[in-house]
Amino acid sequence: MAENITIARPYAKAVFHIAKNANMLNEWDKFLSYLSIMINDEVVVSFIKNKTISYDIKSNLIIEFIDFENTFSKDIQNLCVNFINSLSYYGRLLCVKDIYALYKNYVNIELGRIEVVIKVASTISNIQKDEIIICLANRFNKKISAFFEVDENLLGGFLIKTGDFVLDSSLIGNLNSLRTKIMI
Amino acid sequence: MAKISLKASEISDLIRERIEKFDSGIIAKNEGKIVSLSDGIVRIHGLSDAQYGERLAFETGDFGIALNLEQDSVGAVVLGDCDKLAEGQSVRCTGEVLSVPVGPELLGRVVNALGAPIDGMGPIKSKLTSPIEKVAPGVIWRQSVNSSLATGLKAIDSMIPIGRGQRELIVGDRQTGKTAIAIDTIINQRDGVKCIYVAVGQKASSISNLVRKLEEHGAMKHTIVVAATASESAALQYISVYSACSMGEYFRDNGEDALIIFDDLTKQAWAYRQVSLLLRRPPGREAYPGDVFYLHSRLLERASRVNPEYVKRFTKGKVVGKTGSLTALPVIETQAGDVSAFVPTNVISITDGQIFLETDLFNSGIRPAINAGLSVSRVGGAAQTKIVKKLGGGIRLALAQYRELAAFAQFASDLDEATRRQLERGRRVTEMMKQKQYSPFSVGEIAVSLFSVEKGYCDDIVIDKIIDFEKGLHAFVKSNYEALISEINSTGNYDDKIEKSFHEVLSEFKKSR
Repeated sequence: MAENITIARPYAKAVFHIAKNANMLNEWDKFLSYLSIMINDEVVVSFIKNKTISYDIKSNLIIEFIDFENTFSKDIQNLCVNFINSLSYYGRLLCVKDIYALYKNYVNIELGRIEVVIKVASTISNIQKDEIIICLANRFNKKISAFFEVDENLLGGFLIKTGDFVLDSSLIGNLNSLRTKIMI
Repeated sequence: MAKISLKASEISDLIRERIEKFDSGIIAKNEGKIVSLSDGIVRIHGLSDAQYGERLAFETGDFGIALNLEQDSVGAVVLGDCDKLAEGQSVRCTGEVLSVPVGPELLGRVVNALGAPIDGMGPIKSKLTSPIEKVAPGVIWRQSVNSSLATGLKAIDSMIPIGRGQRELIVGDRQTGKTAIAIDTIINQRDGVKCIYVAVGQKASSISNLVRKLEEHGAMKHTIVVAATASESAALQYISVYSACSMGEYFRDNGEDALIIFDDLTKQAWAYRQVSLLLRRPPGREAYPGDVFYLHSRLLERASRVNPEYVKRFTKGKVVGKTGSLTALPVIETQAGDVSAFVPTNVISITDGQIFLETDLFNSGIRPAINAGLSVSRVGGAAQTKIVKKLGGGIRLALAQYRELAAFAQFASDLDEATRRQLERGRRVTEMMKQKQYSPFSVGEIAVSLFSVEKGYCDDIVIDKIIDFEKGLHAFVKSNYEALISEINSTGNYDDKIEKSFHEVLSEFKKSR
């Protein structure tokens, strides 16, 4: 995984620059999301991993699966096909998930926003959600793109996660911390 | 090992105290995920804020140290058991470097590389902790080494003296008596020198025997044993020496004298090599990583003598006018006497001298099996006791001349009187340098032994009887001249009066035989 991210970085950077220069960040986001979901499928993974199948067959099959005409803008269709071909040629198709993750990261930096996952122990009201988002926007000084999840395992409180950074105010987090403190 | 004295009430009190001090609230942390795990090494994705050497906490409650900081991942070593760890588990930064308990509470205890007790005598109630990796005191805080650290071994104290704050390497093949020298030195420290013995990669049974021997000789009360046995992970073997050094530094920084024995640094280098190779660091000579010199230099540089200003600053004025010292005796095991291997040459160049032990000497009954020609102490001379320096000065020369003449004498059938006398003296000096294990001598005893051989009182004694002669002499001096020996032990001085007294003692003793 760690190695895949290292491999994925130059591809993600290249795609981001193309998308940014053409002012098509959302279009590329949509395409990479589509492609990463498709390549995440077990059958597709085993097909890609099969070394007896040549790279052009792999890329052609993937391209055939994607309904370019109805799904993506004409401006990026050729670039997308070239992108899949080059990934297949260099044996990097399995890195698409990481390329997408890095691409999203670059887009977020460009737009001055961060993606935050907020886990709560029980359902909270929209007012409470807004309050949390405002607090986080002030804390990080960025636009917040928040995803709320209900996780009963937290027992109480909340847990906020953005990238590697975690703000844990959950009951289970505190209990775990207490466990390590009293361990003799 | 020591008896179990663990009380349930003590544990309850400790837990209650920790619960009372626990600060609940929002925990801000940097979190990553384990992506691979093998042989005690984990690669973690994330942890972008991790610092080099930072303590990482796994969700199982175990800890690790971040050693490789890469663009997308962190390579860390697991401290302890990694059976419960699995790929996908979360890891968080703790924001602190690895620390171990320090203080006088550790004396008399056997602890592991993390400072946790392993002797079954209950928790250690130390009030302080100290990071395992610290920068050695700078030059302005240093004081020159000018006081002696008596090992109680005639051969060492007379020919290769060790000063307080010195780094003296003990090097030799397996089974040449390296550990024996270290243990005798610990046993001899009855004047307040605190000792730390670090066992790296040794058998648990060997460590148990060693602790028992120290207890038998009453040396355990001023000693801390840090054990990273062969069954423990390479990471623990690697950090054990740094943990022990922090424990020793506590005494040095508080104006006391401490002695630390690293037994041995070869195995620690092996453990570090294993960790480095698993972390995919490029191997160099003998497959060691590029920083193996720094591994030992940064450790041994922490052994030093510090001036009173340093002690005053460290203790915030509580201790004034006292210097502190940490003397290091690193042990290196050579393979077939090859001192030119990578690790031995590195450590020889770092230390202030070496005690070279030889298998041939050991097998021929010369114990300690010290090769007087190859052994050297670069700073010890300035720190030698006056009396031992005066009387031991001729010993080294006599042995050097003896070795040279002995080589030539093999070819010559007829020897002149002077040569024959030198050879005889050399044989007697060699015999006199022999000493049994676990029987370190006081300065006074060493002085009287050296005096007897130096002034020719042993010349008419059969070589095989030299040891008995010395034994009898010590008993005679102890029963009849205790005041003289006590005076020498306390002052270490040598003057005409003492010389005259020694002549009297030996004449009287020889008459009584």
